[in-house]
Amino acid sequence: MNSFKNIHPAVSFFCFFFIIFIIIFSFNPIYLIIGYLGAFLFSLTILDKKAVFKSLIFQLIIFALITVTNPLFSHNGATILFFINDNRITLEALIYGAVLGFTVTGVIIWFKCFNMVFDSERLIYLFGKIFPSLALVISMTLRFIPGFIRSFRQINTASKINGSYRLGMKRFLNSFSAVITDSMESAIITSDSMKARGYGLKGRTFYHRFKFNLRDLVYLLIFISAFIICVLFKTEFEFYPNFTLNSINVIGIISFAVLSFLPFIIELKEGVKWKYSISKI
Amino acid sequence: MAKNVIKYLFILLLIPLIVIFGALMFPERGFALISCALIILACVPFFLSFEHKKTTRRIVLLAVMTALSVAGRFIFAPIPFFKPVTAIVVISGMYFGAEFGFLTGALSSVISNFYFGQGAWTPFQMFSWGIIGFFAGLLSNQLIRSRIILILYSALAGVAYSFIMDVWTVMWMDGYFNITRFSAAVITALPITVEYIVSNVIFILILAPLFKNKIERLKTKYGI
Repeated sequence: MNSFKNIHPAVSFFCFFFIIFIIIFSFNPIYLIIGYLGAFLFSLTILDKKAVFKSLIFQLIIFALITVTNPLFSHNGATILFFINDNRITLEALIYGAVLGFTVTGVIIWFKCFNMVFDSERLIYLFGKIFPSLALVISMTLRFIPGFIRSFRQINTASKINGSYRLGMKRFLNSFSAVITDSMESAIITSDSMKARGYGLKGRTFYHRFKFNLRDLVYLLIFISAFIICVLFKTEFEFYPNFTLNSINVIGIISFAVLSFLPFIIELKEGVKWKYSISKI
Repeated sequence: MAKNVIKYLFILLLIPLIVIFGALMFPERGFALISCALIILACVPFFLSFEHKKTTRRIVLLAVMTALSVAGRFIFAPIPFFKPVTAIVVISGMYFGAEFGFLTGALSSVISNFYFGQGAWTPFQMFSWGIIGFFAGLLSNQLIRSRIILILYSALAGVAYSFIMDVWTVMWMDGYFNITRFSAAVITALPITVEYIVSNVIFILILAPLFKNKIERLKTKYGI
């Protein structure tokens, strides 16, 4: 059912990249609100609802903290609200803080979605196109980590049972040292056997299960054109000395809405299809 | 060969293009954009040179060192604030060279963020851990010879890590170096910085002799 996950990793990566890029760098309240809404709806469909609301509380705290503290760090702006220790607290700095807070929370929620969709397999696949041996390192590391933790637990339990170290810390270190020895020795053996089996010879291919089809191409084109349009036709703001809105650019806003709501729509469409197909049976 | 040249050119062209594009299109956030692009640019040559110099031994050893540093985070989780990541990155740079140290640091950051969540800080964390490993590699002779320099270096690494992250936070938020926000960030992060320093020094004192023995053994046994 996870339909956005079925999109080719390159396409979904670009989608996230464009959206997060705009959220971080545009500093545009309208884009930020649209982007946040898109991420919120998307996260409701792909994440656990409890986790979304839990994260919402955290984000609210961060948002409030940044908004309230920004006037303390920045004293630019024409509209003075009041003074603290001869430092002026301005409305513009407060607004700037709110926009900053929105940027940070928007990035947090989009990265939450990114982490949900983009697992290590997808990252290794994309990364492996440019850096094949580093991608191999990453996938080997991901495979070693649980193994090391498991062997640490075994060694630790064994030395606990035979009572060789009373002190927890000393036992911990001793077991960790055993893990290091074991892992480094087996690393040499692994590398020799890789060499013996012809790693790095020409004509070798990698297995992956991602296919780039027409649907992916269409989505990619939509994402790219929406990104270009919303960058070119963005609404201009000025924060200092006065908060002013120069001109509202509807085209840019619509195209950013397309960009940030499309993941949610793709996901929703699949959900509706799924429900409908069940009720028919 | 031609393929590699194209790769380098692509990256060398891509990053300045992003910078120019960002500075023109997003004047409000130009600094944040340029810093991001430069940080990524700084990591790329290390990745590319690893691709050229790869041997199976380097590949597997890099994976093992990175996995040890990330697994260490889980293994020592019961003891609060004690993370051996920086110590292992320093050791890796010391014994296997500057480039290797950089890669251990950078990959440790990416991979531990698979467990703890990727964020906008990932490139900066990659860079700061990477650079700690890189300098450990450059200073490897002094670090191996003198214990005091080793302790100083790992304490400094803790300071440098939080310093880079604080500078990044400020630049990211204000778009320029806001000294009041920076000092506020440094002061609030002070307990964490002290933690870093203490845990780095303790871990380096414990782990450096351990690794030294093991690596020397490997060298005599397998001749790496």
